[in-house]
Amino acid sequence: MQPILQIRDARRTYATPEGGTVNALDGVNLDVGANEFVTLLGPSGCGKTTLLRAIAGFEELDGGAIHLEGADMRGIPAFRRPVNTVFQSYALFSHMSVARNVAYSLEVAGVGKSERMQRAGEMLDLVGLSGMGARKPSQLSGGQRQRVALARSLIARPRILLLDEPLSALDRQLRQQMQVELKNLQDEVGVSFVFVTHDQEEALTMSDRIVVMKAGQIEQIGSPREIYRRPATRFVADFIGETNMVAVALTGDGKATTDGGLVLAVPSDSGTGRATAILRPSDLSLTAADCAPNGAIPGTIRQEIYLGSELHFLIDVGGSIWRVTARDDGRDYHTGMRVALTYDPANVHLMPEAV
Amino acid sequence: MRRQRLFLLGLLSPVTLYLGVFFFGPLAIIAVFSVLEPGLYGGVEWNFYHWNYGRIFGWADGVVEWYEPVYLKILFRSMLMAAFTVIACLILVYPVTFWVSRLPQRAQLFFMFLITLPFFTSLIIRLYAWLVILKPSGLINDVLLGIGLIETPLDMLFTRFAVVLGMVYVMIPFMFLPVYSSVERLDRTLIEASGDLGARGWQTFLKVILPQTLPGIAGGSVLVFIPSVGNFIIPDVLGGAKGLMIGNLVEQQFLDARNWPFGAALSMVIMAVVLTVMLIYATKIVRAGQRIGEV
Amino acid sequence: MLFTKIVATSLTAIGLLAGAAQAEELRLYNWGDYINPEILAKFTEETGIEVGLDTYSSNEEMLAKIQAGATGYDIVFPSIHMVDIMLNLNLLAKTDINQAADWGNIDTDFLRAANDPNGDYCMPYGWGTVGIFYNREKSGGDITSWEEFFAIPGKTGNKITLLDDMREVLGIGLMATGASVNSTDPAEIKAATDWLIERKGDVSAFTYAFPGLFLSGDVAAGQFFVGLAGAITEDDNLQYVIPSEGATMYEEAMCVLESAPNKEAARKFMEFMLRPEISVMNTNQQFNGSVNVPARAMLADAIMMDPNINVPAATMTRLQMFEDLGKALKAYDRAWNTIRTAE
Repeated sequence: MQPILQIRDARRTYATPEGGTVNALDGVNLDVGANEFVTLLGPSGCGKTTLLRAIAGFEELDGGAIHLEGADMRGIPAFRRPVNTVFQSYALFSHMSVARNVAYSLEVAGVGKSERMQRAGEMLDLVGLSGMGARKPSQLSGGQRQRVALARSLIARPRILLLDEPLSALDRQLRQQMQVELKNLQDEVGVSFVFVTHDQEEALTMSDRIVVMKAGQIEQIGSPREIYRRPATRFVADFIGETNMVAVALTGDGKATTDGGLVLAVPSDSGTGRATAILRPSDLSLTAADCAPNGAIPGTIRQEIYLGSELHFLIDVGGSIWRVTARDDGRDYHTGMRVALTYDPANVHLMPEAV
Repeated sequence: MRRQRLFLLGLLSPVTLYLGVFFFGPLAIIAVFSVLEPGLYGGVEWNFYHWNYGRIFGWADGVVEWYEPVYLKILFRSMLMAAFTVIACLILVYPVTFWVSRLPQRAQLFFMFLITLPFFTSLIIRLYAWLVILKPSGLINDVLLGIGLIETPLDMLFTRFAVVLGMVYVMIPFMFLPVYSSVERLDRTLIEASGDLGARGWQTFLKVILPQTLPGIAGGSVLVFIPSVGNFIIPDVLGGAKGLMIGNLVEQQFLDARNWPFGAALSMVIMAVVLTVMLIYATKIVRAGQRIGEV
Repeated sequence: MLFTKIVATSLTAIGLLAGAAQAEELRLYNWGDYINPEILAKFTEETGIEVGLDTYSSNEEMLAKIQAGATGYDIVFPSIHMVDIMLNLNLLAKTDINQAADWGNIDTDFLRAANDPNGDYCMPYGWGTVGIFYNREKSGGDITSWEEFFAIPGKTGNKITLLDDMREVLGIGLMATGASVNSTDPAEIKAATDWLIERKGDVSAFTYAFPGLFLSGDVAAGQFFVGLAGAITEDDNLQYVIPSEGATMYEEAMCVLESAPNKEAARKFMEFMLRPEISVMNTNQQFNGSVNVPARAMLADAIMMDPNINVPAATMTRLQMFEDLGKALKAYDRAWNTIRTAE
């Protein structure tokens, strides 16, 4: 399938106030398909917002190219691009009514007033704000403003909707609700979403694909499961959820030895050589030391964090700290207690040591 | 309850006192004087005398006082000049505020300092300085003659041009500060959002930038308009006092004609008219801001 | 003048504050630049009495301040018509200055106030004329009349200015149409107004800023006070003339305020000013007319020899002095508005 958006070797350099330069985009390649929900994920300064702004047309690239539906976007101003943006601050026009905000792109395109108002009404229905067209943005709650911003960006039927951390201003509960709604909305309108966030949970919840960025480069592109289960680099593994990483030597027989002499079971097709083994805290189970099965990792509880349905443990394993997440099964664990960690070898992910 | 009320009263009393002493008190004196008979040598006679208003509005019958339409005409002309000053200041200031608001913080502060710098010198001295600059043997003509751009000195002094120049020069800071503050607060992402939604530059200006900065424009206009209406020193010094401004008329009543009540009546009329115009303007502009650019 | 006004106001405020502390002090309230400061120094040297000086720029301003209750001043210098007004308002003190030993020096022709014909209250101080200053070269030759004065712009393209003063400007119109500058005849006022409106287009400005513009050559001619003649004695090209149609003259008197805190020192100062050698110091510095007969013989040559300053009797007949108009002032006010709003 022909991708709707193609980014080839995108480069953008900024001068810093100190006189140096920063590569905000350093050779980025990315395709986005029709009706796809792609999330750009990374810490602040990783270039994800720059990439979004370059797609929108607010920034010019220093090198490389952006093609939208096959057309080169070089020199095309923002107002001519078939994309729309939902801003972090929503950027609603405070002097206009909600309906006029929503119909803005139709207004500047010269669509007649009655048609604009009708379509704005439909958009407001779609985002669950029926009958609120006459209000001012200042009379709406944060979540409602968010929906107005969405409606305003979608009314012109863009090929791609760009969203710049749109949920970051909302409280946790509303954010989770909006995550679901956004995904549903995307399915309904059939528009590709490119969503920028630094929140890995948000990324995992909504995305078809996640693009993890670091220092202007793409670290990994993959489905949420791939990114979570099979991180390509230590950075990705670290950034997406909590993780236990340990350097090992593969012995080629489904076994790996840590530098501390601990032997781990790994998938049998792992080959030989040095590697980094990754185990998610939720893939580890805790048992009492005295009834530990063979191959379990012995350790001592350093700290226990109670979170209601879950328990987080910091376990001292031969001098290094491992994280374990367990359901609260009513058993009594306490600091200083000797325990054993068990796991399914299939869940041990190995990646080359260097990255 | 009672205590609380007393406490509130105590909190409000400085404001009340201030307004009373410096605003309502003098205003009341002017209002009362405007319906009294003028004293022969200035001051007032304590007799009710409505002819002061009759002279302005038309019921003075020519027996005690004469009605003359010239007073309202002068008021109208003064307001026209004030409106012109407002527009000229706005045209000059508006683009500059955008430029200044993009400067680095320190440069902005320095610019604000420059804008307020003229206030450190007396207005009269500054106007006489302009007189020296504008006269045929003055600085501008010297320079233009020196570089050979003109052959005979330009006639700028005591012209309408000099008056407009002086008015704009004096009033610009009053326009700059409020407009600047609204431009500086303007959210840049609104401009990006407008462009993103398909608006061209002029559409973004008309539909977003202008309405968003309208409060500053309205504030600056009021701040420039009100002192401009009553200003007569600038037309006197730089314009050669050939035209009569409403301010001249009031001054003349107190210093030449020794007719305090008529001066007070004129002041009351100016105040009423200016207040009305400003109220209409302010409400209109707020409403216009919401519709501006809509088609 | 506006500037002087503002300076005067602030000086008044400062002066009043400072005045309270001094023991023996005489406080004068005079027009700006209307007394030779050397006289004040000399008086202090001779009597030990400190002299304070505040200034005003119009009779009305002075009257308004005194009426409003400005106290601390001993001597004021009102014009003649203002002397009458202030006497009516009981603002002036009887001094019996006409009993002083040197009173005989005063030219009694200058005792013009109707309410004080013998000098029981006030003493003539100085007088001058308001005529035409012109630049020979830029005016296209010598000027002898108001008619010629108004023709300068048409003839040479150069600028002329008038004073920004209602009565002085209307006075020109009245004199040029053969009326008194104190006329209350509506027809005469109308004729003067029309005469002026006809020539308004030739007037560059109504301004007090004339001296600087005149001396720099930016203005060819203008209506101004004779005192400026002191600045043009060296330049034969710059001249002062009393026009053939006439000119206004002003005369100020020295009067002691009823509210004066130091009437004794005030009397001493008036007697001091009666001395010819003191009086002439003032005239020579002010370049105006003297009211002191023996002093006239001691005048500087530049004044003595100039018939436009040291005015001969024949010319005196062309001079007119403003009188208080009472209620008729309104007619002048309206005429002045008409002139200034005329396009």
